[in-house]
Amino acid sequence: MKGTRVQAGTAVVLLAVLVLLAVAGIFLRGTATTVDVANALVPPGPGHWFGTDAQGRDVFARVAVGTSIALASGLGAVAVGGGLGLVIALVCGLGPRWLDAVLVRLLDAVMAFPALLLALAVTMAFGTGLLTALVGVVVTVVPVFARTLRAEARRATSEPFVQAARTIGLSTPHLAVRHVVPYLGTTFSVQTAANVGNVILVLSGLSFIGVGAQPPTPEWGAMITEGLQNALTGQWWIGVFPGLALLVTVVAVNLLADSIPAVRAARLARRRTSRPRREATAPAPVEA
Amino acid sequence: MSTSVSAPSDRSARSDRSALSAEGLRVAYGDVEVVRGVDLVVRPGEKVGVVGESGCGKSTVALALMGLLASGGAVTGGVVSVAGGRVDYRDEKALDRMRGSQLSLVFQDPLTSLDPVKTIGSQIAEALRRHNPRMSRAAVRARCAELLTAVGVPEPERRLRQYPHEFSGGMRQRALIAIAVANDPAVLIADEPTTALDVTTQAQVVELLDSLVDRLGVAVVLVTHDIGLVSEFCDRVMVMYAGRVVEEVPSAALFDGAAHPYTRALLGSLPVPGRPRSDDLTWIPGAPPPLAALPAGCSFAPRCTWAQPECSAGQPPRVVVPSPGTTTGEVHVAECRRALEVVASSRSDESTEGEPRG
Repeated sequence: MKGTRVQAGTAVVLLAVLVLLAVAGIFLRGTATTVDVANALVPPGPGHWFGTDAQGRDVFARVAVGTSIALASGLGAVAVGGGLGLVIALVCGLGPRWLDAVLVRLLDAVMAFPALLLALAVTMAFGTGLLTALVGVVVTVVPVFARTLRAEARRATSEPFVQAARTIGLSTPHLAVRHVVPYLGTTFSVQTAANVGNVILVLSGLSFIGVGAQPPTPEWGAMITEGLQNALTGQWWIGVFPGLALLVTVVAVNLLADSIPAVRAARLARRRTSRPRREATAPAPVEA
Repeated sequence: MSTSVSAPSDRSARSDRSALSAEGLRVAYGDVEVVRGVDLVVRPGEKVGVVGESGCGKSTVALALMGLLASGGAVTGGVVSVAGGRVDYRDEKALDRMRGSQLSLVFQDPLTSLDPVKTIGSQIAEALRRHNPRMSRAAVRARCAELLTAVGVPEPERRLRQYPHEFSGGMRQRALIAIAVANDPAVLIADEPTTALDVTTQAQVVELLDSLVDRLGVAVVLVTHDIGLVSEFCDRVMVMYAGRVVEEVPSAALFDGAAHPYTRALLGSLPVPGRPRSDDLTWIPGAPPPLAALPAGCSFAPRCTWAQPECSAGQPPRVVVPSPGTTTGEVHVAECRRALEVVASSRSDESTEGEPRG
């Protein structure tokens, strides 16, 4: 229990730092792409905390902007992919059996490809760029959500309270939204946290090999590639700082994903033992 | 009321007055027929018990009437009317409208029949809003509190904000009953509503059902294997065996006048407080037959102490049993060729229990 609290606390602190960095990034967009050849390859110091790159751009500003790009695209891709996955899971779980069978086979086929490879294929087919890379990543996220949530949705339909909800005349869509979706809550949040880290990693990977975000964009993967050119001559800071940011993000998100079920269980246990919060406002007549 | 259920003129007359009427209801899972022509007529405000061993089709009848059979199951025959309107089991939308507003069902297990992540109030409100979309928030709130009060939950305002895990088993069953009667249904089917509860709570729940019948005029179909409970609570008892109603008897006549050997055997296996220890309880040898391979003739014949060779030859006749304790209009029918002999024997040896060997 204590370990969980430390873990959750660490995750929250790291994520808070990252969010601050991302917010700073929104205001540093101009700075991040300002070329200043006179101050190229300055090592980290008071003027430029993370130093400057070969074109004299401030690495801290670039990492900050990279953070906002990474968090926004990671959350965005998972929200869209997870949402689609949830819809497919509900159709599979509550719809006709034949449709379930067809959809599951399709999902299996998509899942058979490694995420990076599949995303790569999509960018190859529709052109390189951050947006197509995002589309590719969404395609890999959908089946992950759909498969796990489908199993849960199927289980939900055999829960007595879902059966009981039918006896009051709820239609299937009502049932899905009001009783099955809340049932999937924990699984969905764990999947979201687990996938955000992975999605950010895959997106950076795509940019790293040159099919994602393209060079002037301060995306971490693209920055690491640029940094590689200077690493051999001793300017390590250009590639290391975006790499560290990527590492910290993925670790923080995964720590969070790990602690969600424990935190939820603890909260439920607390609520179970707590006294009722408020007394009734008006004493109601009690019938014998 | 006539005992012949097949006359067409009689049929229409019946369904006009009944809250629920099922005529010749048949249910099959694949090729196996699990309910084989059940007639069930419930008048408004009437309390009808359905009893039998496990696997006799009691719960299947309840689920079939609601249109909630598990996948693979289907109503294959019969006419069902609820509150005067004929039910079409292929029309899912109409079924949704019927469920919870005209016909309600309370399940056996109150501990798992409520959504654990929603408050009791929101679950009662859900039932109200489903059938009254225009009801205002204030009206819904007021009605929820009123319903909880009606089912005997004190401090309804506070209770409405609580989650199911904050309710005891008996309280949860009360909440479920509140949900079931929220829209003033014509009939409430209670499928073993007390089985999961302890004895004192059972009595309270039965008392509650009784008071709801009086106050709301709702008819109750009580599905249970507790023949003692049924005789206390119900006006009329349907005894089911192997997917058929083998005896329909007014509760007043149940103990002294049961005419089917199966009913007598069920009564014989019922422990009665105060009866001398030396009187052993009787049991029924064997188990109900597999529905996929029913014996020819009377399904109960292989286990029946009254059985004669001709019992296995053909379907037993429906015998109308004259019961002195019953008023006119009450039906007592047993599906047994020796029904009258069974009644006669039970009346002659009132005080001595046990099965006469015939």
